[in-house]
Amino acid sequence: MEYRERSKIVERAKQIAPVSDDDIEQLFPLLDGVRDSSDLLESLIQPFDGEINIDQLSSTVEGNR
Amino acid sequence: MTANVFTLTLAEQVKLVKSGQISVTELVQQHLIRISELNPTLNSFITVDENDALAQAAMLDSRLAAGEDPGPLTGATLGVKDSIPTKGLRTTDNSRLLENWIPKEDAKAVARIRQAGAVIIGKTNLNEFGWSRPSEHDLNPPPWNPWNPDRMSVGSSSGSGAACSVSMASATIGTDGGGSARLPAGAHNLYSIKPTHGLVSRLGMDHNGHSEISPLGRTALDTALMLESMAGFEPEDDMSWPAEVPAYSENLEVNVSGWRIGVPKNLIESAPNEPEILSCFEDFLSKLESLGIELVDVDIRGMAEARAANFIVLNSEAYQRHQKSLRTDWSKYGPITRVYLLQGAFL
Repeated sequence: MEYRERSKIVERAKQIAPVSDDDIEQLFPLLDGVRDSSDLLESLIQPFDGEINIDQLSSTVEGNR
Repeated sequence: MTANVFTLTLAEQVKLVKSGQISVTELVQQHLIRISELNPTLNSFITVDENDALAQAAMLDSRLAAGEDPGPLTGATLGVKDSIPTKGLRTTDNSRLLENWIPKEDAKAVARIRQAGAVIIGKTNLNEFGWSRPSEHDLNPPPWNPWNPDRMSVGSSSGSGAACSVSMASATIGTDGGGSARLPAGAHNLYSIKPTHGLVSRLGMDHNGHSEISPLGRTALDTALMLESMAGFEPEDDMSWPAEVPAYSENLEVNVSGWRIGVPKNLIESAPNEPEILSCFEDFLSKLESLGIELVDVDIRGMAEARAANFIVLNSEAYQRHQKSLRTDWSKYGPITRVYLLQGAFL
């Protein structure tokens, strides 16, 4: 996920729509989920030159292996 | 008039209508009374068109009187999620952006339901655009769960779940991208299924390719009858499944003794379930074993990654769909929905 700094997030949001300060405050906690999902998938991307190693995949809903 | 037929299952209602023990008009009237009694407090329906429902009923009664068989859903009264277009019947998506939209055509699945003899009695409540979570700021206030009216009905097909569970309709139709029909089915003691992509055509729907039109019923048989009527090949739909629809309703009473069913216990126990839910699940597993089914512990890998991928795809699609109108009509969106939609811009 490209946007991690508060100032960049605010700048990006204001480019998209006429967001208020309240909207921004509601947006920040949601972006934690976006960040977690993006980071989890990025950490699991495997090279496509062979079979997927299932040992690297999660076995619980929290992502534990 | 046969009293309280609205409490029966869809299959039982259709049987009574076809045998002439109750007319379609009488059945629709019973559901309209039920809606007038309960909807003011439960908010399950956004729009109910009494005149149109009674006109549909009169048409079906005429066909029955002429000796015709209108179809497997004859006389069943259905509530349709207000994100699914219905010809001549306001379809709002519970948003101020579509507050006055009256579609010129039915979605294909709705047209099929009508062809099967059903009556569309009204449009059921949902989270705005089937997204985010229910909010008092939506065009219509959220529906409440009849099993516990202190709680909102879970969505996004929340009104479909609530309306079906208290017999405001014979059954209902929702949509399901990430659980939007299965979750309300679970919270309202109903049956539902997210159909395989292409089984029920999405022609006439919006561009959210991950959301499937899904039946909700009070029994497995009702849900199977609904799915059979909605499913089928649509040549104009390049994603439609070109095969014969299985007779789901005829395969419910099979002998399951000797079946093996995998149970991902490790995954289930790692989820934050409430004790009552886990207890019900254990009872369910015991019931399966009592029927002669062998339960096998299986290790399913990659579900957390699947959930993350689903989250990213759904949010990206939702933002893409609303990108222009978020800029031009920001204030028309509910304050929660618009912020949820904005998430996808940061992926």
